Amino acid sequence: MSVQTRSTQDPLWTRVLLIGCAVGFLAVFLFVPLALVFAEAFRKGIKVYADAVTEANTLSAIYLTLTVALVSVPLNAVFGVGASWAIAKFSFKGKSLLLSLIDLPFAVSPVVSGLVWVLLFGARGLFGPWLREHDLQIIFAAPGMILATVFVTFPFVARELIPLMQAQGNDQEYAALSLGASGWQTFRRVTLPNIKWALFYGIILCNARAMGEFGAVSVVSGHIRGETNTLPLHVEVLYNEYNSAAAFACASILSVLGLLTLALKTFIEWRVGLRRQKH
Amino acid sequence: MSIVVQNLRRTFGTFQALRGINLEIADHQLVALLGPSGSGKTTLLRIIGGLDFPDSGQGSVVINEEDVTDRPAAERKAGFVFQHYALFNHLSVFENVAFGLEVRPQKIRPGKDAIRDRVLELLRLVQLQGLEQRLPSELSGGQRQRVALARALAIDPKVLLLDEPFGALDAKVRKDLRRWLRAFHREIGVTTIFVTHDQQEALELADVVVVMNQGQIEQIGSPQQVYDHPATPFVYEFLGDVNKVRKPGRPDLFYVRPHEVRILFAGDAAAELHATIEHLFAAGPSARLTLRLQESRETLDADITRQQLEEMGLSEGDEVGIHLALSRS
Ligand SMILES: Nc1ncnc2c1ncn2[C@@H]1O[C@H](COP(=O)(O)OP(=O)(O)O)[C@@H](O)[C@H]1O
Ligand SMILES: [Mg+2]
Repeated sequence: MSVQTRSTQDPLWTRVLLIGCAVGFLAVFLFVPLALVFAEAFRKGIKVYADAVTEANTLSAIYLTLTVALVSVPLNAVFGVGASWAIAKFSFKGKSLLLSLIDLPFAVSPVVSGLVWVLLFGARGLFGPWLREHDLQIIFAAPGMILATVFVTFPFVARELIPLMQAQGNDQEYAALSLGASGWQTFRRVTLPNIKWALFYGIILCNARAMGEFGAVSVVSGHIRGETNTLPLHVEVLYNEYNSAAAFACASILSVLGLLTLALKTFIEWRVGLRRQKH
Repeated sequence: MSIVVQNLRRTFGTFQALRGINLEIADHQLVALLGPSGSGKTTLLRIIGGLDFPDSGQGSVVINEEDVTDRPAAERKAGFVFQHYALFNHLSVFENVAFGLEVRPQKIRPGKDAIRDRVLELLRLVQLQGLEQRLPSELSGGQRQRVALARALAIDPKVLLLDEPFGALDAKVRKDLRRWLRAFHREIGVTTIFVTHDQQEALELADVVVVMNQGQIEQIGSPQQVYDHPATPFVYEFLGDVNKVRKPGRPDLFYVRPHEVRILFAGDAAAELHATIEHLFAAGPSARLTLRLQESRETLDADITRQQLEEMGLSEGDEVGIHLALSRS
């Protein structure tokens, strides 16, 4: 509505100029780089691309990236739902502190998020000696990378859910309880259906970041080829070795992931929009 | 079933929402919790229903001679209808009403057909047959209200608790639904407590009116008792229109309802006070006069019949005498 009234009020040239600026900006800063990534990846032909993508170290990087995401995303989904539930439905001391803590990973540099784990679990870290005695390796290994990723990505789900759950209040949950439902039945049959799209949305964003994270993971990885390199780290290694065809090939995989995320996000927004219209 | 509440206290932080509530409700009664907004009505209702709990050790709730103070809502079988209905938005009308039966443990859960029969019967009872596949968003306010009622009834509640059942509806629907609830309660006979801040609603509908103010009960009684014999100045002012007047030469305040003000000719020997008619409004069988007292310059409302108005030939600006028919202090 408001868009319509605005567009009939503003002169045509203003509209053309504004829309032109927006589209131009997007083209220069988003579409062109994205297109260049794919152009560069395929420049030396499909064979080189296929080789780069199926090379052992690349496959290992893809595998590690998937493993890290597969562990940290479900963890953060569970954590996000729990924290949002606590914040939206109960009042307790230290609630605003918890809210700020959830935002902490957004506030601090990813490098710091990585260093924290090194300080805790690194060879000279707080638990370093104990870990060595028991022959456990966290830093420069998959567990450390998972920890770093969990830390960096934990706000995504909670941030999506808290405002929604706060707006919904808890009358429906109370209604379910008074009808004899158990806590779990109430969650499964009432809370979850009410938040499912926001939850899905949060998980997608969380996943995109988990697979794309560079800074924090870079600190704890140790960059052991074929072992502790995730896809983004692998791209950097390749690029630094002037192997740009392979670097861009791997980057194109990450770009596809980004586009997929975007498509899913659009789909969810469209679904939620439909539901709004119906209601 | 009977409900007994004793010495109930509930504090939020430092704010005392309920300060020692004592209440006994006999079986089959329709009870109104009446009071201004913030007086603690919802809090009391929620504690009776097990959705909130008293301060620890401060009071007890007994339903049907069984102490349920520490029992969770699920064990109390209290049908609760929320102020804004709290229907499950993602479920159809049918699924909403069936919810309380579906979540029962397998051993005592009725079969699919039995649930279906029960739900359809309830929807017939609340006059919503044919709407079972609709979503709550596709219903009017009054229809949602009745779905919420049917949903609460599905668990065969021992008591029904309704929080401002007509609060969110427009005047016409409100009136219809009020009448319907009265008949409905007579039919099913479940002990029912409903919260309202509308005195008209409480007086018209309830067997017993519980008047609350600032977390305390001011008076409990039949509509007639609380209206005709208010126990406290608060009840007097909250229930119906009331004038506060002083008679000449006496310090105490009198509470007088507009229909208790007798209007006489200015020269009448029975006149205790004298006044000028500032405003006159006549509609329906009675007329409302706004009077300015000559003695104290205070204003006073009086209701008289149209017949008297015409017989005395009164109009704005006239002087009249006043006798306070039923004065109390
Ligand atoms: N969960 C709560 N936290 C803090 N204060 C509350 C809470 N619930 C109710 N109150 C306070 O208790 C008082 C009584 O509330 P309520 O029982 O809802 O009143 P009513 O239903 O009569 O309008 C209000 O002042 C309200 O602000
Ligand atoms: Mg209330």
